[in-house]
Amino acid sequence: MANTFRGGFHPIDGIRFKPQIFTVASAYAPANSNIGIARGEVVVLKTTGTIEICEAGDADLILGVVTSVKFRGSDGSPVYGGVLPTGHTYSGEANVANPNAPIIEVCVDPDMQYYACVAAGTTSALAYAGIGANMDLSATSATSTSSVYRESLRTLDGTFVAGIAQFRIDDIIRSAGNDVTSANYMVKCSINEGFHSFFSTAGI
Amino acid sequence: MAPSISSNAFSASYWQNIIEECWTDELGKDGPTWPKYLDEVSTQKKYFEDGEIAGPGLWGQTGEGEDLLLDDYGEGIKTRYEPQKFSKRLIIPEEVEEDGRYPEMYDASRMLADSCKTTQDYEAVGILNDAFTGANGHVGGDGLSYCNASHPLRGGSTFSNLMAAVSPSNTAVTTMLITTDRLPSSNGLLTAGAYKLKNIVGPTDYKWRFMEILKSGQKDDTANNAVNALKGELESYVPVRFMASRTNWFGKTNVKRGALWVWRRKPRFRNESMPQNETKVFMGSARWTQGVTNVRAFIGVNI
Repeated sequence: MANTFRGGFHPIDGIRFKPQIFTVASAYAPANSNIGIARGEVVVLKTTGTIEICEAGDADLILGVVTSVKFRGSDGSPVYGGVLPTGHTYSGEANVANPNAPIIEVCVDPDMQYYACVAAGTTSALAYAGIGANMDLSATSATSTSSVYRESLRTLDGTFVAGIAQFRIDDIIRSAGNDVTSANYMVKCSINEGFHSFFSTAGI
Repeated sequence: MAPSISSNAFSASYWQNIIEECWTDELGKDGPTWPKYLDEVSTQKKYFEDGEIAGPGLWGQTGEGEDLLLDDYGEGIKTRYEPQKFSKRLIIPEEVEEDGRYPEMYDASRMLADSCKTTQDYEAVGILNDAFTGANGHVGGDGLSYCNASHPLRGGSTFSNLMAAVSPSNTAVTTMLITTDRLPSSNGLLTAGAYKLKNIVGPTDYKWRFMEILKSGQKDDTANNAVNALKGELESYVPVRFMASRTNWFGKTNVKRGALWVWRRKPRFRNESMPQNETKVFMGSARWTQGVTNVRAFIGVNI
């Protein structure tokens, strides 16, 4: 039975830390196939203090998942709950103190678990054996953003690995509509990068 | 200001009692056709938007003592309605009324009222005429034609309200009923309160064919006297004579906020005398628009 596709990463276990606000560099153009940054996207923190979309197997540690986007439209009026357009430009410095800079709320909680879809189905045995295994994000260039629902459609790539990968598969979502033998079955996962960005001994 | 008509525009017959009956366009007594396939609403705003809320997904099993599963919901499609003003006026010299033998010659109020009703139907039918192409701005809040194979759902899936090109038949209506019953909700799930097909909308050409399909006691397309399971299943067939296509047809569903006719101001008629040129001015105006909020309002068949 085909699963109902639900892209993006959705916090599942409560938000223990208040979402923290970050911004992106002016003219930042993410490599995803559609529009830009939206709710549900996985992001990394760069040394410039700005955030970018996390690539599959990214060398930078995952910061968290975007929970909301706010920016100024071309006429200067604020746009809430939207998709930050790729290549969006603004004047002034790239920090949240600049009123022209986009405001991206990110759930920064290393213990947070997320709903996410797995891009490829498998056998029931392999799926449940995969609990505790790791899995990378799907390639940025292969994913997109819904311009209608203004959410990321990012998924996990479907390959269980025992070695290092970006997310740990914590559980298979046990609900009636979740078929692990079909693509886009849903799992509960958590960031698996050892120490969170903010807990690494090296600064960013 | 030039009058709409002058005495010299009428031939001599109209000024003598030669003409037995002065006939004109005839409109049916039951008003425009669009209320049969659009839902009528009114607004007090210059413009407004209908916004979709896409709900959370299915509940999941949780263990004893385990935190209850968190989910989220979000906004979806926004559809904007901005009523436009429509108007018409006629200017009639008083001489036409003074000399005319037939009231129909200067019954401007009736002419304006009839042309207003006709205009409404020509405007409304654009929703059906452009349903498959999205032409003339007839697109849904998702930017796609009203009847489309790839309407987006929250989460990334799509759904279709477009049926394969089939001529009217018992089998085709059955397929449409099944398609309607399985329309997904905004988050891609089938819901307990399934959408229901109310009636079929199409050109006058199909009126009698659908009468056979929907009202016959026996199935019309077999020789075996099988029971017609579709009898009484739908309310009616709505013939829309204004449709450009003589072959496309649609199923209309029971969605709450579907295909709308929106009044900002219903037709208003005025008249006044102009003593400086001894004419009478008859005027009418109204403000309206039309569109589709929830595209599940129609299942389209593009033949």
